[in-house]
Amino acid sequence: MANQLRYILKRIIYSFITILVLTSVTFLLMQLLPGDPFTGGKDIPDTVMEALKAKYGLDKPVLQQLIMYIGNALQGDFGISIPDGRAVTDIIKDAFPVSFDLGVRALLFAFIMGILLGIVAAVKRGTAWDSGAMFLALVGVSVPSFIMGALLQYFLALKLGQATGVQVFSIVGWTDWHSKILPAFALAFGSMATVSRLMRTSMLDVLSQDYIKTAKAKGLSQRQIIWRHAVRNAIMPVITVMGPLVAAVLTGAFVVENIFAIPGLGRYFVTSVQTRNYTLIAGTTVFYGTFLILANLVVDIIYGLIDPRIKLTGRKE
Amino acid sequence: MKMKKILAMALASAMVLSLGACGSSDSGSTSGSDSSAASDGTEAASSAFPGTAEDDTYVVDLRAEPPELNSILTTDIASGDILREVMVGLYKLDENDTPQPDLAETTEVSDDGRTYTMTLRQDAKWTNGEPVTAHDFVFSYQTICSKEAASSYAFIVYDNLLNGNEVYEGTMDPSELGVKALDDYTLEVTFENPIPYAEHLFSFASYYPVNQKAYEEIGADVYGDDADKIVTNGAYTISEWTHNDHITLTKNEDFYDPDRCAVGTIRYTMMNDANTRMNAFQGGQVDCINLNADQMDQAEQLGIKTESYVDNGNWYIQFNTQKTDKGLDNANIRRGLGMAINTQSLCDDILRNGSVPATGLVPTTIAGANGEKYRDAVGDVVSYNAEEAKKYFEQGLQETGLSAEDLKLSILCDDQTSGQRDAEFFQAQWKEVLGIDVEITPQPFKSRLDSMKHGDFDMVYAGWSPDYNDPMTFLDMFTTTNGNNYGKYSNAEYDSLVASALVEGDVAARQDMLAQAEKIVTNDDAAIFPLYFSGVTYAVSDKVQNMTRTGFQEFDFTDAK
Repeated sequence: MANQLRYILKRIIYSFITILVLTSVTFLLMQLLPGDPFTGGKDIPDTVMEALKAKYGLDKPVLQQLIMYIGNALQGDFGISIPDGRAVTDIIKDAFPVSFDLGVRALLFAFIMGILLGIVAAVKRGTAWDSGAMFLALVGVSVPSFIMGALLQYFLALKLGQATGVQVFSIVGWTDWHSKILPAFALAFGSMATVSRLMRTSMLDVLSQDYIKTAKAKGLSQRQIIWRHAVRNAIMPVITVMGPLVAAVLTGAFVVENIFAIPGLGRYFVTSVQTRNYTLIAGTTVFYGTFLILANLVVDIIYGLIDPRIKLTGRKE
Repeated sequence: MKMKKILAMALASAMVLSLGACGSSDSGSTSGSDSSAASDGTEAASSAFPGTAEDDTYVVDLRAEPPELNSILTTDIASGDILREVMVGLYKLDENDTPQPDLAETTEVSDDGRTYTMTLRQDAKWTNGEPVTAHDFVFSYQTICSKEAASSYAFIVYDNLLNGNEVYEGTMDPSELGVKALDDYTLEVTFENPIPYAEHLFSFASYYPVNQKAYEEIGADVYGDDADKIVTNGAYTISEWTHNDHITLTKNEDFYDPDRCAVGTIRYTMMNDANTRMNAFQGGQVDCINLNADQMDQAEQLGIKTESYVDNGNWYIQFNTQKTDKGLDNANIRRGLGMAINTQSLCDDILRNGSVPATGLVPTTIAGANGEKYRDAVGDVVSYNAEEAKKYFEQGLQETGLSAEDLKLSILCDDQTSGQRDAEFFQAQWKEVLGIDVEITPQPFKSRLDSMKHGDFDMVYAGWSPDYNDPMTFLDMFTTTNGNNYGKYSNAEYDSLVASALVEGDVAARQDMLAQAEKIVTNDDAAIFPLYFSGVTYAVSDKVQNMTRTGFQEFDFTDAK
């Protein structure tokens, strides 16, 4: 237990260093982009430009800006978005819960459906069930979320609504369950496919192990064998991909948010780069970075909990 | 092997699926609207898109979040749309973009045309209960003319008001600025030069009043950031604002002229994706959306009611006159390149959004002297002519001693689909008419502007939208010292015409000077070759009444009665 705590502490320190490096690199790289936050179709007189740069602290040398930025960030101040003047923390506070809600729904959906499909495919190997599940998985892997989103929106929200006169799924927005199902499904579909394929392979591997034969020999029922012995062992590789999947879902969210006009953080993240909104680029990058690092840390800890054989301290980075 | 087959099958079926979506989008929707029309009986034509279900509410798509509702700092169109409904100024644009007195009950103009003395109506109120007075204007103008406020539009006030530059630079006290409250309801504004478009300026967001008490209580940094962080005085109030999603305006019952409101509630949505907008419109979740060129056929097939207007923008080719090795210092080569582009075909076949071929630098919508539009008064100065283009181009080559192969020209454009699409059209025209190969250099918007600033281009496909309703906003751009003159064009005669027009008090004489300047820069020298006056085409549901959409007012719902 003490070992585990020490390991977690070490990981947190490493994470902190990673975030610091991420912040510095982002901060320096974004200032190398052509143009600045105030570049527009119209030339701004020099004297006004000076006033603008002074207001946002952009008149100082870049290194000094970076040090000030990190200093402020440590106190929870990520600056104000250029040019709209909203605090970056307020923007994240407003928009992230929406993205998070969407992401969690999508992940839950991806994992539950993916694992079930994988189990069915493995247990009914070679049957129509197997082909059906794996076909679905292949479609999921090959159809990107923006096509899936557009198709779902067009057929299930618009056409179904027009044909039946009942709007089961909203076309746009993020308010009630009517509006939340399709975006979550569109975002989840790809991940669900990954999970189900992984789960199938892993299940097949486990099912051919000696201890499954032993369990069969003991006279355990098929259900007990699958749920108590096989699934618990087969699920390990799926847990491993959870970290990367969280990343995929978070970064994929922008497209889905765009299609369903959902006011999440993804749109801010992308437009901030286009508009050279320095503070918002840095703020969202650091935030996403921190979130992903934490997600990976949590996955590692869960890993240890599910399989006690894995000693967190002993793992190589 | 087996895996590959399955993969191929899956890919194929995915493609079929997506193809199916495209194919059926037209036929499927038509039948959908047909059936709903049939159930409504005989009014088939007008009931296909009745609009959103909520009573006394219009849902209108603004496409993106209005970035800045603080009128002191605002510069963009979307914020202007919201401010127009929730604020009143000295003047207000009517549905024809003509300024009409609003807060200014009476206006007296001095003989030299520089001083405006206005008495204000006394029944106007801020939403915090305070009366709207002359002091609110003084506070607003003094604040915008200060470096601390750091408004990127400050020059539209300090360049015009008496002592504006000195006050901005801090060499004069703000009280010296050309704006005075003679008493609570009498305002005196003095300009540096006579300004024929002063009334139009008074209707512009930068010239709105600001309530000092509210501004200081809320704080300059966050003023206008949220629905509860702004105090307004107009026909509507901001009742709700979910960032990047929607902003809701509700009729202001305390407003002195509630009859001008077209509807009780306006909800502006912010849908970023063109297909999403179209789906939402068809599904009756939004009443008005902008359409792009690709959606025109679909809109027609579905029987969607569309309207369009010229939005005042001018898109043109700007030549880098410093590129002597490419012949771009030669007026005939530039003119040949410009005239080779069939602008009618560009508007009809490519843009398809209500844009019209440019006949000069100043669009058709801009006001001229004595109530006539400038464009109508001065006539056309540029046009497409393939024969002439070839002639000028050959002549230019002879003058410079270059051959067509030497030029190796490139055109800089935006990297969005539409920018590249248009550039490809120009490329084809140049090949066809002049027989030259031109390379396309697409760049993201900010990068393109950066390249322009650094003179890092041969030709650039760029646009300009006016800051105020006067030809000057287009014609002072290319003087030798102007920061927007990215092609480093310089012509002493043009410069002096613009400089004289700036101080000329006689509107007709001023217009003549501007017309001469326009002819020099676009035709004689062809430093800029105007291509089209850009348009906007939009779909609107049957429900919407009294909506104004013009070049200077992307949206206005306060022109009812």
